[in-house]
Amino acid sequence: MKKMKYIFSLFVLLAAAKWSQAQEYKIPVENNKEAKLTLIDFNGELPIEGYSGNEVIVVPTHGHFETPERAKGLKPVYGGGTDNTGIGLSMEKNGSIITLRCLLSFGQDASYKLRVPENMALKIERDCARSGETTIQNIRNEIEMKGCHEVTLKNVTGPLVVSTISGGINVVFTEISKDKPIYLSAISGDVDVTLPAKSPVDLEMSTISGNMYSDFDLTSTKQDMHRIGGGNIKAQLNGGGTSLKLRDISGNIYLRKG
Amino acid sequence: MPELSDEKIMLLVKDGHLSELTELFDRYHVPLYNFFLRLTLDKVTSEDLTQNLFYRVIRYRQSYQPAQGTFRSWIYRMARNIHADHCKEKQRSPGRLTDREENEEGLPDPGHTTGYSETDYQRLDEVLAQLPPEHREILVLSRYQGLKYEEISKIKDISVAAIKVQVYRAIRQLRSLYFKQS
Amino acid sequence: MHCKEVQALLIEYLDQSLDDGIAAVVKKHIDSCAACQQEIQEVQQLLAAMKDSPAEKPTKALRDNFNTLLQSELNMVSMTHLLEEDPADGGGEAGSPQKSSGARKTGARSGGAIALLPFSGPVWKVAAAVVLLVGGAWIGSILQEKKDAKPDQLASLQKEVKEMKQVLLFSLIDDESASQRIKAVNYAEEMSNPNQDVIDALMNTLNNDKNANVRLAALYSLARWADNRAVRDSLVLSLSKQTEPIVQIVLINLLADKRETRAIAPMKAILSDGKALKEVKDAAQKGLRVL
Repeated sequence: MKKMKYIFSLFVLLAAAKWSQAQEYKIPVENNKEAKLTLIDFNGELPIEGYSGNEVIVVPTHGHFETPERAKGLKPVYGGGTDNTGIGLSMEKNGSIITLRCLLSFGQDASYKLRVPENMALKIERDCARSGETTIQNIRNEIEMKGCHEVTLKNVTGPLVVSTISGGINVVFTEISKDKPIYLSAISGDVDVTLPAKSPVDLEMSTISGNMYSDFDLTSTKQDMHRIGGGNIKAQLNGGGTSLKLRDISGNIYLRKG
Repeated sequence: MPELSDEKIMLLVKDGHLSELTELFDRYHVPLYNFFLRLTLDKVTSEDLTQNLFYRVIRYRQSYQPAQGTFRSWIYRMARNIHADHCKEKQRSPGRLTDREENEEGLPDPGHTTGYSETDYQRLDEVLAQLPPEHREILVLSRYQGLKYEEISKIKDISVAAIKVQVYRAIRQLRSLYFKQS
Repeated sequence: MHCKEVQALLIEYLDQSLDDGIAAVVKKHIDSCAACQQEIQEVQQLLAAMKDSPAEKPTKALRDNFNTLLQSELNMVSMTHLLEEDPADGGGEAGSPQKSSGARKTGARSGGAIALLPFSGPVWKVAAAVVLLVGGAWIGSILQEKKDAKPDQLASLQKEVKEMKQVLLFSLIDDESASQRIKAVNYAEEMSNPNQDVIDALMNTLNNDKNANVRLAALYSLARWADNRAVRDSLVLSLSKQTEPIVQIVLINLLADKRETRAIAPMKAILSDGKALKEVKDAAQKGLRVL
């Protein structure tokens, strides 16, 4: 019986793998800094990973997009636009500027996984009703994100402009480059940032009712004149350089040495 | 169509054809960035200084006088001033590379070198960085950037003869450091 | 000729800039002197290496910033042409043929620049601001250049950097990329004494920018001048317009901190707004208690 179960689940897995292969949606694009991908109103969890290829690859990890028997010869119709991808998204491409808009309503259970050329810039807008956690890794260009829930970024270079409403923001930098400002803001979640120990940074962080923690030497902290309630810290790390601003309302801020 | 000389283009710019400046930017921004880079040894600073330099070119375009020398000597003169201001502002002497480990095995074999490898260039950079700023500058201008002695004379306001002496001294020092002689 | 003298002439010898007679003497000496041969080989190697040393490429940002600066200047030039009706552009001058064709060309080019500048509200305003900012400063700097007074050089550099920041601020504040707009606001933050145009631009960003963080950055920047009457008035107005929760909260805290009683009404409005986020309502509640 147990064996049967294994075989059965193996079968399911294989079927799922085959299914997801069939459902991959690919958009060829140059892997350079000029390229930009905008994602609007995606449902569910959204993991995004940069890689060295030349295609944006979208894989639905959840949801049903096969046409039922009864709808043969018909096309799925959505309120927000035309599904030209077959997976509930509308795709617009203008040169190397790509926009993907999710057409599903928030009641529809679906989620996607993306692989994108690592040098592309990302712009992501997610609303509170339908979105889940967003995780992004290995992106070497600007990430602009307006989220609602948890946001986790790994191996990114900046610039970063990320805000979220009810989750936290976690970022692990492998390097920081000058002239690429980083601005992160959360309302009730924590902001947790790990920087290489030697990063040259002009740091500013503030939280209105949370606390701030760090293992960086913040003795050069200046008492800044535009203190807006709560704690506000302004300091130069390793001589200063990249502008790094962390803002929170009721969450804590953690700044760690990587 | 023959290429316009730097001087002609700059006169056009001065005369109101401001967008022609893009051509001069194309011709000069890489050498000038490298000029700053060899003096400051800092990429970010060098970009800032190059940017500031072209800002000055835009701003002071009316002050360009072809009778006073080539465009190249005019712009390098400004570059030199910007670098000097930068040093003053930073209240420190031009940068030096932090001491890297001397690499005995890495010495090039002077007798058989036909082409330079990347490590050879790197070593040359390191040795150059050990020279005093004055010597480094004269070598960057006259050798790396290939400016004529007459142009450097205009830039530095000293005689061609004095420049030859500086170049001679700088190369002597570079040589003794590079080839490990005392 | 002795080794010392030959060595002093080596570089010019290698550059082939010596006169033929002297070059021949030098060559003769070198041929018979092993030490000099060694030296000439080494010097030659160094000269070749320096000449061929690969140039490092700057990042794309350098060109972008140059283009930005050039575009601002072009906009300014076309503005001043418009405002002054430069007689040289009329082309009616009895100059040489080349001269008048040059003048026509100028006209055509500045016309091109104008085409880049739609005369709609904000862009026009920014261009005007840039003209005001740069125009005056520019004349001043030319005067200063003429004097070439050394002690002023440092001050003039600082002034120049400040002006450059303003130019960049106005050029970037409408940029498509949020991080560029943040950079623009950061430039404002580095100014100890911004003028009204800078403040207006920040206010506009606070109320209209598409990105919450850019708005927030503008607010933190403006907060420094919250005791200025005009700034305070605009901040109070902004509270009733604000749609970004985090900006609302920070703004409420700021105005409560300043004991700004005119903020009471917009705070009450937020409390009775069904759509307002819980955190925003909490902040308004606290703010009202203080006031």
